[in-house]
Amino acid sequence: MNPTPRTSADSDEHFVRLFSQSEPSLRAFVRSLLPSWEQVDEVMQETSLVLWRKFSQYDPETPFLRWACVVARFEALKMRRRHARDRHVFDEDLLALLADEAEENTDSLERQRHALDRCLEKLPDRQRRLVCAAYSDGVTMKEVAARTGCTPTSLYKAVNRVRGQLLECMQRSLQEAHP
Amino acid sequence: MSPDELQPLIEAHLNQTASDDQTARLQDLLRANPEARRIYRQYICVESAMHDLASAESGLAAVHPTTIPTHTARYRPWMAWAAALALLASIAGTWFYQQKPASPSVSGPGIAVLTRLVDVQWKPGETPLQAGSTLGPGRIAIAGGLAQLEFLSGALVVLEGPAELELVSPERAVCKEGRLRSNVPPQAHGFTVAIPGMDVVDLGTEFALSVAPGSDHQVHVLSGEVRLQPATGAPASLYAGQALLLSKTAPPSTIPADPSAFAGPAEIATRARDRRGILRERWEQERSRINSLPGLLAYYDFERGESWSRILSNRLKSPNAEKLDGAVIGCEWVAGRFPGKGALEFKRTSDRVRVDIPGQFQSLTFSAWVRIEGWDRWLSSLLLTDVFGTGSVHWQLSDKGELILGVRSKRLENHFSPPVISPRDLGRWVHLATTINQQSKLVTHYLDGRTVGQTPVDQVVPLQIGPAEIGNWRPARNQSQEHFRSLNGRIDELALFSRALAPSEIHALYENGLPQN
Repeated sequence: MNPTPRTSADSDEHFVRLFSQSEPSLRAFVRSLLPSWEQVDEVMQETSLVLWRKFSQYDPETPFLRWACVVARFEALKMRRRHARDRHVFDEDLLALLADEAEENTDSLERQRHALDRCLEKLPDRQRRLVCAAYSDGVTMKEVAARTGCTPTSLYKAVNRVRGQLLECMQRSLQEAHP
Repeated sequence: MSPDELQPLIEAHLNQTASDDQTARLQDLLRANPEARRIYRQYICVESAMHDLASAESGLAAVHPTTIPTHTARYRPWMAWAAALALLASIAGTWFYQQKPASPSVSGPGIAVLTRLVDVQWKPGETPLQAGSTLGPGRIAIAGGLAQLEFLSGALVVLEGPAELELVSPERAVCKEGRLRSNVPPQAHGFTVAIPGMDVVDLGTEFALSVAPGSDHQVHVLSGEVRLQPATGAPASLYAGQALLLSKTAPPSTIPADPSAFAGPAEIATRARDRRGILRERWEQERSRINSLPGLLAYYDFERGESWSRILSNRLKSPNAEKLDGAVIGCEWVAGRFPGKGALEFKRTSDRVRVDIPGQFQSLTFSAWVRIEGWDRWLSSLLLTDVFGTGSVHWQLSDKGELILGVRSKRLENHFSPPVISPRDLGRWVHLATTINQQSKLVTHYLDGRTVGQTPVDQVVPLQIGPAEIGNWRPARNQSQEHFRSLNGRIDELALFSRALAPSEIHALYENGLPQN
């Protein structure tokens, strides 16, 4: 069981630790609800502020990620309403369904993330560079493609390929872990 | 739901390239199917991991609640540029790090030109390549037949299937399986083919080799000298008339070289001639298939008439077929996609074919086999109506490699594809198609049977062609300099349909019309 925070400094430190542990999985959760990383980043910032403000209400008996997901889901919904006309946005009913299921499956989310971290370590240098370029903040893949002089299609293809390999690696290592 | 349907939808969603229809379909699948949601969550997890990797490596601070600045410096141009430069290298190099190298990329630096293909069957899962393609780094894997590669260093290689060759650089290839004969002019001295266990370095010769995985390998020197550089150990020389036998079961030994055991460029030429009849027959079958497709409006097969013939015949079997014949002005009859197939060459600014296609249409399909030689000006005509009035259509190409369908409705609507015809596609036969469907209100562009762009139709109008030109433009009113839109290239087939063909139908036109084998 987590120790009850006493002082404000303790509390901060405790929060930061919990938050950074859950952050990757939380971001994945938000990404499953929103169509772009820009929107996800904004929601993550809002969420972290809300979580921090409400940290005193957090029940240390429950998993932190689960609590964080509830807050993030609310923030994601607000974002969705602002971008309702973005054609890649999912309908609200589907968001609710996805969020419900994900909140129930936070364990598997963390297991998958853990497996993926190991897959990423094994990623060859060139593919690592490809990922870094394609996902660099503030630029769209189209812009990246334009700058490098390759077609967006070939960039998307290369990214899809890496995605496929990581997916396979993840599935394999999860199978090995849980036969 | 099939995973085959789900995966591309998820990929498009993640890349933010999904169309409205794709987003709708993805949502339907996710709503209906818990398995689809499970797979979607896995993809999201991968996507997040990739994103986090990029953030971590670019040194961007993770969102950190106690240190949240009032404004985050999210966009750092220098970082994007550095990443972009790294990307160039990684796209070209991605192939080498996969267990199975992918087919030679069509972007990336060129290594060799695939000049001839005879009887080639591709290994399962391989994307068929076309003669005339410039190949980047990657693998060429054939199950049978002969392929001729001309490396940019000057080395000429004939590959005999079953074979797998990995192109590394203009000076280096790796033979994993199969028989290969190489002609190396003095300019390409040092051209190296790696086989299991050693490099075969050419010193200006003709040599051949065979690699049988799990069995024997052989290196034959047909003229000149070859240096053998084993992975471990000292190099050795092999001279004309000698061959090296590398056996699994015995120590290496030399045997007499046997030039007749390996097919070379001459063999390719002979076999290509033998294939002519078969190609012809296959194409005639395809021609009658096209002729039976519903909605065919006009069909020009560019069969070479007499050299003096100035008529481009419409092959559509209909009572008034000859009214749709084209009048050839200037163009020369030349060779088409395969030996024996006719084509018209559009070279001078005056070269053109005039047609007159009456009628009004709700939807249209344009399909053509074209060999573009270069971009002479901003716009190159495929089919342009003289008059550009309400409902008129202009099918053309831009010098950036975009397919464009212009439609005049209340205002001018130009439907651009992304730039898809790259400089490396110049000089090879490509299949171009564009459909306009005014029921679904979509214009779709295709290159080599694949969708390359789609744009919505804003204003629906009855479409018409009327007096028009293939490969050029004679504007009814002289507006500006832009009226020079002559094509620089060859056309050897053009079909028009009064409906929008489905993607599968366009793909069949490409697949059946492919100029090889």
